[in-house]
Amino acid sequence: MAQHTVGRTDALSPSASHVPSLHTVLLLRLTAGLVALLATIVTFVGTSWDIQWHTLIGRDRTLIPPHIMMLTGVTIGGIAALTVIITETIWVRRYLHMAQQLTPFAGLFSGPLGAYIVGYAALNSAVAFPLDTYWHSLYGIDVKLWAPFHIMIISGMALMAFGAVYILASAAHVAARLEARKAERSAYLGMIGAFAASLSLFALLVSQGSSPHNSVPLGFASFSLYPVLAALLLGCMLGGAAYALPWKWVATSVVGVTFLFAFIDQLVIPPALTWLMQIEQLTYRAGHANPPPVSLVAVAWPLVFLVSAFLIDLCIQRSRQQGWSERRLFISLVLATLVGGIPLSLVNPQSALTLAGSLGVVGTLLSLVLGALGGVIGIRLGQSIGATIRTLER
Amino acid sequence: MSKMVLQRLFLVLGVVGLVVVLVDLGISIAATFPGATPARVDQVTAGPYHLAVSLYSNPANAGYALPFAVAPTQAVSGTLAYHTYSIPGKGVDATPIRATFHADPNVRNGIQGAAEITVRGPWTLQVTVNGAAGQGVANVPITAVALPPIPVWLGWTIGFVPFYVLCVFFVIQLSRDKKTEQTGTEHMPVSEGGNDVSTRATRHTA
Repeated sequence: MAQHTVGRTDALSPSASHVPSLHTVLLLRLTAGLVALLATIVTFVGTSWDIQWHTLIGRDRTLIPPHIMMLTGVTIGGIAALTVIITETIWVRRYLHMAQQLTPFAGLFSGPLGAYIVGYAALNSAVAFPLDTYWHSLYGIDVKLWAPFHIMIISGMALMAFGAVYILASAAHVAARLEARKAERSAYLGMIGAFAASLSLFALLVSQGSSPHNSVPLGFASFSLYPVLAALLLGCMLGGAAYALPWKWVATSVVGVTFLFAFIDQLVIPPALTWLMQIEQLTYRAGHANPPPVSLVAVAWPLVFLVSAFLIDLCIQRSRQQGWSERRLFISLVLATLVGGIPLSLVNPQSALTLAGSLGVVGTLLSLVLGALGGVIGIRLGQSIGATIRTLER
Repeated sequence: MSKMVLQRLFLVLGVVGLVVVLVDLGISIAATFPGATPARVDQVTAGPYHLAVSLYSNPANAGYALPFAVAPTQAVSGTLAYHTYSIPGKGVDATPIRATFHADPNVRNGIQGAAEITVRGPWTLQVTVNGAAGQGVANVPITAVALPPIPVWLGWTIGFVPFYVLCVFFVIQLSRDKKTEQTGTEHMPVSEGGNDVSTRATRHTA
């Protein structure tokens, strides 16, 4: 196979024979993207474990094993991003012509766009940890998941996965140029996993919105944030994935992988908690004695996301086959995301009815209108993400 | 604000953030080690045992470990076994936490350890001793303090930092899409027969 080099190879290079080949760039980015993906999966399982620990045992110190697991994931993601940025910055300094293939940052660094996102997001989560400890020291251990620094930690981890999507997209396109089909397929599969990891972590936050206690009172009525947040999230992630990847059933695959993560949670979390309780000689909190062996995150997983994903894929395929207008496709996708705004989980199969009952007719309609607005913005952003990712090489 | 200035600002913030994380990590680790002299020594009685409980930080810092040492003040026959817990006082939203400790190499039957104090307010360091003379329990009251509270709105403002950056990212991306649509210079990807509707849905020229 012919040697491919990055950018022009005719000038500015002190030694063109040592210019990193596209294969090297591909290997670096594919590895970094997959490591960042692995890191976010570690953070997701760590966060699920932490939610279980907080609920059943109580937050007892900063460096409990679930926190260590989350920090480990964050650290791995940060190191992966830093490695890519430092390596590609060194390449650019040595071989100036490579600069056209990389994204510059602050006049000092060069690297793929996704690596900056992963690095920033990892740092964001790391900074949020001591701030969260401070917040708990002020307001106690029973601070809800919707607390400032919980949001900062979890959204940082979700953005790490989002950055991994961008790194893997750049790797996929480099692989396509090289006609390296295996690497291309691995990068695309990694992108599905990364979209799923990002969706899963954001879903931890969004699912809190289905509780009537988290409704927003307006005086004359109150509305739920769940439909708007869910539709916005699904539009961004599933819309983005469906537009970014050149495969069928991408949105359904992404949500399928999130269900796999929830299943892994169910397999891992209850025995891990029991094991640690024995090692650390801990006891359950009052009111939580002998809980069923289930992962609290897994049983609260939003089941309707799968329906929404299926509808998104179906709309996109029908649109292609039957030549739908842009407007028709857009409205269909928004409605598909709005379906995902209906709360339903194994632990609370009637949560939609409970929520609607607590909101009343006006509140429910208002929530759905806002949900549609979330879907409009989400799908628009998803299309933009998809369009960028489809052509991203740097 | 130019792109370069914005990126440099992000860089400075990133470096500051990294320094904050490393400093906090250093403080957290340092907090577990006892200092040269205790900040407070309480003489307590645990059943038949007379003990000196040394606290190396007084008041304790909520969110960090509190190093402590326990030593018998009178000769004891045989060996002593300890269990130590930090127990939250009334009105403190926390759970009891088992403290970690190891044998003090300089004091026979003595221990050194670190108790976790997670939330500000009144706490008790509970020391349970088992020995040849039976079991005894001593309670040492502790007050935990935290840094002055920041306003709740400021906490939320900081907590949403990732979303501000995400919004800026999306705005830049959307404005780039718009430019591309206007100039019609966007690279058209090769379809592999999948969900290839982006050409029609998003890449039309105005």
